[in-house]
Amino acid sequence: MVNKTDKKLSLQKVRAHIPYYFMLLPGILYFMVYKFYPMYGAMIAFKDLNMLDGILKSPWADPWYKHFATFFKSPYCVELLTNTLEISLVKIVLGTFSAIVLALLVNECRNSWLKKVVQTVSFMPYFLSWVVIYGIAFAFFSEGSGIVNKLIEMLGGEAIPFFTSNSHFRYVLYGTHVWHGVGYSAVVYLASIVSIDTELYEAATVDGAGRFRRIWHITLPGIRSTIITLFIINIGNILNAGFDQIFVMYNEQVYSSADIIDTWVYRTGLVGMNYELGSAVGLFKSVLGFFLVYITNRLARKWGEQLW
Amino acid sequence: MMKKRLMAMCLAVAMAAALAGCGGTTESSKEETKAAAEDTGAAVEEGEESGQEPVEIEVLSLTWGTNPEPGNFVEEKILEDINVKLTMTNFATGDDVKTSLNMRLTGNDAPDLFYATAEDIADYATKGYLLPLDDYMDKMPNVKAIQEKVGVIGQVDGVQYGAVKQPQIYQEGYWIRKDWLDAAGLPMPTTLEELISSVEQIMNSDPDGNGIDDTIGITGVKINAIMPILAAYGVSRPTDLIDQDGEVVSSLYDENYPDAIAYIKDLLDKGIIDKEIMALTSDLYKDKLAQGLPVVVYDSWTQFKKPELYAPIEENNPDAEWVRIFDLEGPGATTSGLYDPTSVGAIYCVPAQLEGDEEKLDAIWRLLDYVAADEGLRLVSYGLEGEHYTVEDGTIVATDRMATEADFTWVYQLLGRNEMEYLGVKFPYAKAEIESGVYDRTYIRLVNTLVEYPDWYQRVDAQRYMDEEVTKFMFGERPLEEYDAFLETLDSTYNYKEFVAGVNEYIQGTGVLDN
Amino acid sequence: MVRSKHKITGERVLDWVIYLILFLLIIIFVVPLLYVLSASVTPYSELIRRGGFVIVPSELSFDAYKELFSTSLIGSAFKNTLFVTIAGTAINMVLSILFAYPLSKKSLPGVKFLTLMLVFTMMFNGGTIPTYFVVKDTGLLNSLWALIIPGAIAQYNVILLKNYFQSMPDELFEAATIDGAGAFRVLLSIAVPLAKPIIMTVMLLYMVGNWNVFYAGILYINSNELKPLQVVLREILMSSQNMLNNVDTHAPSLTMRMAAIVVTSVPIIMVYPFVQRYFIKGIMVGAVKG
Repeated sequence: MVNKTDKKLSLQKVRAHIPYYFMLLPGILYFMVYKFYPMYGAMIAFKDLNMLDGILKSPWADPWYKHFATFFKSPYCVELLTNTLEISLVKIVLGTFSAIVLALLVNECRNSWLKKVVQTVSFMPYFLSWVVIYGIAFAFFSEGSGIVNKLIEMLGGEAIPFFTSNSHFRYVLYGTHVWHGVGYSAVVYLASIVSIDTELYEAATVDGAGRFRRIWHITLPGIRSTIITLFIINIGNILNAGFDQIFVMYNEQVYSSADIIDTWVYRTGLVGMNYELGSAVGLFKSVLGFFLVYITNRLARKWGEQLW
Repeated sequence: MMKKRLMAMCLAVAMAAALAGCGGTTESSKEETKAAAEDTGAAVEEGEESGQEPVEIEVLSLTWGTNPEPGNFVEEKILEDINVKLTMTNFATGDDVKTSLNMRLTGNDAPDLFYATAEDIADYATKGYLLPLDDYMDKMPNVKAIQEKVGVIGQVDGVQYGAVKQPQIYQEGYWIRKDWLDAAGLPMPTTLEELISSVEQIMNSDPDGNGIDDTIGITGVKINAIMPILAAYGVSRPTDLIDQDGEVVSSLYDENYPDAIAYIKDLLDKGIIDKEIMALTSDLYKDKLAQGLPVVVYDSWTQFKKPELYAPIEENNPDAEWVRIFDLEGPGATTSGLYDPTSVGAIYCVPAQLEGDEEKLDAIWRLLDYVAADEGLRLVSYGLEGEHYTVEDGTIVATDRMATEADFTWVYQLLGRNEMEYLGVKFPYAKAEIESGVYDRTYIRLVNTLVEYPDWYQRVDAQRYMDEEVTKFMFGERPLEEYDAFLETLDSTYNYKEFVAGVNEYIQGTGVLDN
Repeated sequence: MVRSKHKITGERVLDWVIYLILFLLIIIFVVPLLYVLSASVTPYSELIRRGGFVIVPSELSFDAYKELFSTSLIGSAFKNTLFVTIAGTAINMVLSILFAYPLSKKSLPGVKFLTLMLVFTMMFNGGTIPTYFVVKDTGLLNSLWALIIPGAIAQYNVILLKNYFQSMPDELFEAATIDGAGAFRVLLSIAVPLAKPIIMTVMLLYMVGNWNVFYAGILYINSNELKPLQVVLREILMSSQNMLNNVDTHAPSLTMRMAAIVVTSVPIIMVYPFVQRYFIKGIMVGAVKG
């Protein structure tokens, strides 16, 4: 008797699963064609590409690590790695922190006009290209004519060479990064905050909890899942420190603090159609990135917030 | 609800179909192209019998944002005269061209004719993407004539791979505010010392009379701003290779180089050279110029002679008079600056995959030869005779319509144009200005575009090292006493001396420096 | 009673502090944006005369906008980008929701593996060359679909959706299933309506992504008529950067460039206020009970 019911139940279970697999089908097809299939291109990192032979028939690089060596042999390799990691890490921390703070501020604001305006206005810079942002930043921070520096000089100080000094340039990168992205990032946190059960807040207020306690004990834990998920993803991207921004804003005088892996690969790879180098460095970044995601995910397991 | 499910199913089926249809790698598409080429071969014979269908040629070009209307009068006339239907694929920056072109070459999808720089050609040729043109030069007598003028450019290991544009003339140098010189009672400077002391004097006299000490001495875009100063010492920018008495050398080893750096450092410290030059983009520099702040700038004659470019400056500084400074005497040389006579605007190449496609190749030779001289050249330079220009006493005179209707024709100047004649027709008011910059002037000759880079040379890193370190010396971030140490590291890490020696040997061999 | 009065005043102070901070933030964001806007309607020479930075122009001139629409490819670029944004986002949303929902069902066999694969494709990719071939072989080259299909699903957005579905109480779904509803029914009548905040967010993210498409536009599109907005915008912005070609080119003025920026950003920014409406608190209240 028990066996029959068991079988019936498990058959039902299997039948129940089928619609889900149908739902997954289009996505799986998409990933197969446009993501998994092209992965054979990773071979390029190990070959001397000759497109007349095609990727598959191109000769293998000799030695196999030849293109990886191009990067690691560069006298600037260590500097590139440190710059990339440092800049990325600070951007992740600053970015996450500022986006959460903005989302909280907007959420706690009781004036609906102010709320709407801040959201829309903070969202706008995301649409400006870095070329434009450089022009704006220059108008504010240039050594000769920047508004900020004029203020500093009026107060009796010396103008700060933000764009040409290694000790100051990173502040420009961080500042413009936050200005550019905080509104955009905050949207995701806001969506999470909004879905927290309001009854929790009501209960807490009745219990006598003030603003900060409510935020600390309800809001933040409520979006914990989002924070951790986004953090894991950002860590995976840690070797991408923001090529578009840095490429537009940097110059020879700040190379030693701002030259990152991607800008170096761009300059080196563009000369001579060096796809192999781009592929090798890309592979290196992917492996390292995935490794970091894996570790961070395991840590996240402890809080039950793992990605998979 | 059912609709959404249906849509999902349809998408799934579509994806599956696409996946099935996707034949695989380049192998199949290569076969297709070859088959297509053979087909057109057959079509040619048919075409010749049935009355000549126009041949479609796609040209990939760098046009800085200019996008002529398809089917404009240039394309129509070309279709009429040589039976070629042109499609121009245009990009706004060199990087974009490269991105698209590299991808298409790799994907066996190349345009029929495409733009490349002298530096790129070596890479494309060694990878086998280009069709050698030697066998076809006789079909293009006009192109051949231009090639003989420019010598080895467009050649890799002695084989001609591209049709080279006629060279453009030297356009840039220092310009000075003559009205401010006059107000201070100073003559036009002829030596570096005179120039600097004049600038200093003017800076301290509040020339724009606004009571603010905002006058900038010398400025320009990045290192260009100090090129003439380097030239006055007989040296050049850190990564340049120059012709010194028939030998190719790097001026970093010149005994004057440290002196030049020290001098520039002094000027930067005193604020005579704008400290921000390295962070300036073209737009930011132009803002400073239009605001009437600098005394001396490094720029091209077009900035001061072309009405639309000069207008903002004129509106805000109606009394300004900008004059070009030519021969400047310095501790190392008397020159008007640095110049590369072999720097050509572009080289147009044919992809190797077109080999065997006689119809297309023929059309390409016709096209190139057509725009290289005579009627075709005049079409792409000026427009249609009688409409955009007239010929009076053997000279070409522009009509009113040229400026408004024919301002895009330059996009079709695949082989360039007769520069002096062209500039004289389009900018008659600046003719004297232009000519005085070209004739009877001495320049330090740069040979950068002739250089072939060996595989072992870490070009990008070496150039960064040179640029970065010299910049550090100039801005005082590294003490000048370490200059020799810098040169030593340059050699030990990058083998720079060996590289330069190799380049010297190669260029000497081509005989380019003999004229 | 004294305690709660104290608290209320404390809270009011906090409110005003928040107002102040937000107000300052508004200034920090608006001032540079206003500069771009005003630079697009101020003649360049006046801009320069007033030191290069003007917030309130003395005269308005829409010449730059006229010039922009008559001399550049902006008109066709607009149509292209509108198509890509609307059709593209529709496809993005359908595919992403269909994919994310099953992944949120922890008991589904293979879910862990599939999610891992999803993350894997976020970190690893074959590079531009093989992707170019696939785009070519699937017949998408030089068509607007090349700007839509290759990027049809953004893994980041799928993860956002999946997480949200996962956070919804199981009782909700169980109740419906017991009532006899199939998986699709549950998805469409329960999961989607209640996940409005994240769905609108993801839709916004996709719309922005589609609107901003650039690199694919350079790689896969050759004809001028098909160039998307960002490619055309960059052409306009970069065309003034080259000194040597000043002889021939007509570099657009700073004013026209600013106008181009305004024209390419404003439409998509307008979408945001519509999305904001869905950020309503309390959407989950009573969902389980009701």
